[in-house]
Amino acid sequence: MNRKLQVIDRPGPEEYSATLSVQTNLLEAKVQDPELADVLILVEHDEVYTVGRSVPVQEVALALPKPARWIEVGRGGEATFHGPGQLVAYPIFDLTRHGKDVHVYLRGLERAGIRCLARLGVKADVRNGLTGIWVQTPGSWKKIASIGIGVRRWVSATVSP
Amino acid sequence: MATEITMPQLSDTMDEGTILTWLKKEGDSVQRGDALAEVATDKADLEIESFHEGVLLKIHSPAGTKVRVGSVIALVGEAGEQVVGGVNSVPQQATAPQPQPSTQSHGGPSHGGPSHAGQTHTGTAASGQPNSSIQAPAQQTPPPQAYGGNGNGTDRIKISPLAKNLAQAHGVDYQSVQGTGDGGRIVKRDIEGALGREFSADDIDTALSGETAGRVNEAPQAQPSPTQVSQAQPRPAERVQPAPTQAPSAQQSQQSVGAAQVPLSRMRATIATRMAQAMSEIPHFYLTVKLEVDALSRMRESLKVLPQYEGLTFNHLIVKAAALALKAHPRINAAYRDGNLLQPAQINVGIITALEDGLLIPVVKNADAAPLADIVSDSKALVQRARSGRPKPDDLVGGTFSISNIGRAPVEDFTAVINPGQGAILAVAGIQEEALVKQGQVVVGKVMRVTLSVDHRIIDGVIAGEYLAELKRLIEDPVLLLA
Repeated sequence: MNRKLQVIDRPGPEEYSATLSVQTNLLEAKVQDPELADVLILVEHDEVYTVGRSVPVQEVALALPKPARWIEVGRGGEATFHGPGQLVAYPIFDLTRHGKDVHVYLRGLERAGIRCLARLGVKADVRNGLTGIWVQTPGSWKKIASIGIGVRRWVSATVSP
Repeated sequence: MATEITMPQLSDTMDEGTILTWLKKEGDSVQRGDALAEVATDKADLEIESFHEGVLLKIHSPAGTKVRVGSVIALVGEAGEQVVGGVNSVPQQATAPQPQPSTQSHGGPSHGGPSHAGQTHTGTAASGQPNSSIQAPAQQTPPPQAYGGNGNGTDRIKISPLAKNLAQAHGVDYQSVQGTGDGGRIVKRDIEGALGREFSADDIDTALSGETAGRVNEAPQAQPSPTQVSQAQPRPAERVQPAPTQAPSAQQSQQSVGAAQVPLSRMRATIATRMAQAMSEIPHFYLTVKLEVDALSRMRESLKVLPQYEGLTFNHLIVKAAALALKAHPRINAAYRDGNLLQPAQINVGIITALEDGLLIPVVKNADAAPLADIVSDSKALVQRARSGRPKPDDLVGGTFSISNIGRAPVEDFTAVINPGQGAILAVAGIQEEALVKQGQVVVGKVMRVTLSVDHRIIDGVIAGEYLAELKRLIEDPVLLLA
């Protein structure tokens, strides 16, 4: 079994849809050939809001600052902003190699994110009941990374810190 | 205003084309995309399509005419429009090459290549779009990346090495001789004509043995290398020319054992010229690497059941890997020309495609950026069109690197000749099972050997080695070919 992790650094800023199609290709290939290595895509996007299908289109159009580009994606949840300066990591992992448990995987991503931030001198933590990674500032907690996961046949797709 | 239809450059090696038939008559209406005429080039017969709508007002070059690239062959305009005289300022008949200043201004990496279209035209607006010049637009921008040309700048005299040596040995000023060979090239019989007698076998032997010295003098930067050994051998192109000499010659001794002399096809003659040119001008060196392809092979089997990867071959995967590695090491994607390094902006990979007696090199454009699924569909269509002898005009131009795959032949490794105008070529041998040592254990694995030929004028061993290391990394962890 190929335990190596291949990191793919996409030249950015890249159109959200371009990265999405790379992600889809990788996901499909990994479902088809489980021996392929796990992949971590690192990218910055052009300015775009991604919107889950559960949010009515009118609501999105009214709520977003103008002019704004937005794109509907196949996930639940509310609108998420992407833009230059924001790092996005998309792990395409075979979860059967990582405990076959989505919650274990999610906690693992949080721990990895906290360790990365610590290396950069940023002290971050998790908060009970709230997904994502947080930094304590005077008076309040601020979210420094958000996490979203999609899983198909035990292969993970979307994460957007 | 009528629009001039010019002879497009339909392949990198094309200097001129012969109009085979007009598919439209004067007065016929023409839609965009209509085929106007069939043209025979040095490599294939192709259709010229119209980029314009209107009426075919005037045919300047009737069927059977040889026309230089860029010359006006017809006018398309509105019905009843007056045809203004004097548009045809470019000689239609193949004549001796004339210097043509390069006037293109688009940002592509092209340079003054042979016979650029549109340079003498006035009037219609320039299209100015790279990649737009594949059909027959008036005021055509030169094909992007015309650097893939045959290296015979129009300001240079085209002469075979044998003819040049003979001319020098016998005091003939070949610069004033009219060439009658391929594309106006000066060949032995032209020197004989100028001298007023035929050369003897001794003359030819002397000229051939003098060739190496002559060429080294011409190209002082060329170091003696094994490739120059081949220069002392007769060129294939010369061999087929009749040599009615008295003394026993190589040809006569061949005839005495019953050899038949068959004139080369147009394509074969072009290949002969280009290959001889490549081996005599380009100082090749070669690096071979062994690739372990078990993972690649498994991924191919897994993916090809998906509709977007239907027909996925090893060659498609190698095209993608080679292109990604070129992106990481752009020097391998470069070319040497007239003392300059040409660094193309695009990565366009030519797939050497065998035909019955010859080959064509259809080109996968932007192969580094194209998703694997697109490379599969593009290459399938390109190769199929090439094999059927009906390539589209754009199919054969713009290559910046080539891949030669020997397929199923039981060949462990081989070397390929660099396509003039490019800096390197990858020779891909067949896959076989071999014993491999992994962590001290002998295991059986699938391996494939690839050999990179590079032009040492611009590429050194270290860079070539780094390129192959990247190629090996991509092939052996093939998930990378999907990103």
